[in-house]
Amino acid sequence: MYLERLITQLVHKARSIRLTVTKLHELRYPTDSPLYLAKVISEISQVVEDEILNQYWTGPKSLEDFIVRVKLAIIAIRGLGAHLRFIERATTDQTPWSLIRPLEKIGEQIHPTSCFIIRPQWRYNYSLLELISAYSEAFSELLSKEKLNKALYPDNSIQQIYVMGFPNMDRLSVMMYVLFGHELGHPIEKEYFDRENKNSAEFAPKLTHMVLEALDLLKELKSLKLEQGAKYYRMITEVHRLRHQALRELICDLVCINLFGPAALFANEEYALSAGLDSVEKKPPHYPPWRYRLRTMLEEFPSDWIKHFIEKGRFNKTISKALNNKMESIRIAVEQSEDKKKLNEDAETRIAYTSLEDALPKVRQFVRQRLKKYGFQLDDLLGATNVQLLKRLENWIPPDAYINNEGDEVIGDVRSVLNVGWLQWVSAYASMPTTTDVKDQISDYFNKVDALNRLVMKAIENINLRSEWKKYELTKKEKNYVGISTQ
Amino acid sequence: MASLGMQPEEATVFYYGFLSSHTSEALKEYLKTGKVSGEFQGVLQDSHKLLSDIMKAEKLFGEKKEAAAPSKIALDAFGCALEVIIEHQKEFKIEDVKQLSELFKTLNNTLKELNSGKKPLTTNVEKTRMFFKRLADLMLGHLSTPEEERTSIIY
Repeated sequence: MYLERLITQLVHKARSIRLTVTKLHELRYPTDSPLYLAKVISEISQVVEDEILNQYWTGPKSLEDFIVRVKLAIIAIRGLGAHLRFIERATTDQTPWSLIRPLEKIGEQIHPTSCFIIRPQWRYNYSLLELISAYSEAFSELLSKEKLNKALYPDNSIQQIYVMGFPNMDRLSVMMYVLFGHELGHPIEKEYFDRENKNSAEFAPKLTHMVLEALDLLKELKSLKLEQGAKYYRMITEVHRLRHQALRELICDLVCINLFGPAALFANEEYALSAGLDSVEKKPPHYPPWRYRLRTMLEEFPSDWIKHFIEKGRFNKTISKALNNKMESIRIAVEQSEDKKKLNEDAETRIAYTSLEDALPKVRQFVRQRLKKYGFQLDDLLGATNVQLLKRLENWIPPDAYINNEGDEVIGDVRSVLNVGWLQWVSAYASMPTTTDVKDQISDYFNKVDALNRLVMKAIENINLRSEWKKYELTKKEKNYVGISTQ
Repeated sequence: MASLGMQPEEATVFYYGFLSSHTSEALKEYLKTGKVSGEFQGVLQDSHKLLSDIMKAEKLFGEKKEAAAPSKIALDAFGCALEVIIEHQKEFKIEDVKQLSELFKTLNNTLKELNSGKKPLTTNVEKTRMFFKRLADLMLGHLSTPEEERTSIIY
């Protein structure tokens, strides 16, 4: 009876998932990606249900082991059901849908076999999950490869499903969407670690030596009691974990910088403003101190890059001064070393970050090459981010295009538009008026900031629509259609 | 459920859980019939791979400990195995690192022999089954605990 009750629970939950998926089809989404995820979840729930029922009817060789398996399957199904929230949250009315497609395009260009689902979350955080690899690993010892792959890949061209989250509170803070650049870095940091794990001899022995030194264990270990051995193992894994987690965040920060340039640095600095610059929290997930992160990001710009950015953009003295002042303020902040002192105070962080520093040059090279391979370099922003785009913004016109000296229309790109948005912000809207005699101007300030965000969003929307129209025109030409074709 | 310490990611915990319960079932069948049926061949190969990963991390305790370079996968596997042993220390009769090493060697060799059609000692098969059964229970225990309340004996 006990086993039968467990199986009933499993089947009930699996059916509930499929019922919910049916209802989710009634909602509207900015792209097909959310319903694609719904299909994958639905398929997995079906094959899990079928497999457990099949094993039950065949008769398990060991009842107690089978019961454990059914319980694991129930917990897994519950987890799948919880993931349906990503789909429900990704509806058109909950997302700034005109931003979704342009961001997805950048994501799909960097990660060609992927699709993206972008949705707001109540937690104040930007996040990214990849679900196919997680489902694949979780179910690989329950389902046959054939059945699992059929459920995971209904469309063979999609190998990864990325779910990105942004804080609901910042839904209309368009310029903070630059932080998605960090999230797009997570698949890249996985690629880096896949490579590094095959060559762990390059860094792991040095880590082990430092741990042995710290614990005064540079001797025969076989005589250690089990508890002492566990302590040694614990420190080794803690050091590896801190190193891994810190390095992954720094890789993502570097991806963000190479994608979005100064805008990335400013958005991160804005995000860090309310945090302790030198806070070191060891428990998972560990993030490097913000001062450390900002320093790593700032050092990604070659020494004269900002000078070239200003020259090629032909920005005036006011903008140049505002930009240089902003960079200088960040430089002064990261020149202090309170973060490094704190990291050195603890043996585990000291060891982890010593190893991390050794790896950083290689990491920087890896990120640049990886992005360049898919068409993105920091230098793309030189000249493309320019005074003509900025002038439109200054005149309350979406900065999506301008007329060049030759009289031709030049259409902007998402990365440059976000950068001019930040330049405008830095030069005019860094903070609201705070003296008592301008109290009544506070609303006016926030209205202007809101307008700035909307203009940048409108520019991105326009650029995307133009690009979609251009694609349609080319397709029409190729197919030689007459009249309007339907998708 | 997706990855969100060398506390392994949740997907890995599910993987270890399903693998361990299958392996325990396979070994129960072997103890009963003296044979491993076709449906369990792949399972025993995968569990041997798991033991190989554990052995890679176990080198951290060996003579050439400073040359050991276990990957995250190996460290995760070893951590789960160590947690099982510590939780059932009396049952496995392990007091020190040397005995721990010998136990893992026994488990590894038992699976190696089964995978190559040889007949390992019954006591070793029983020990191996006990290990995987306990590992499955531990993984189920981890997953049954709300994420924010999960702790590990190792930590």
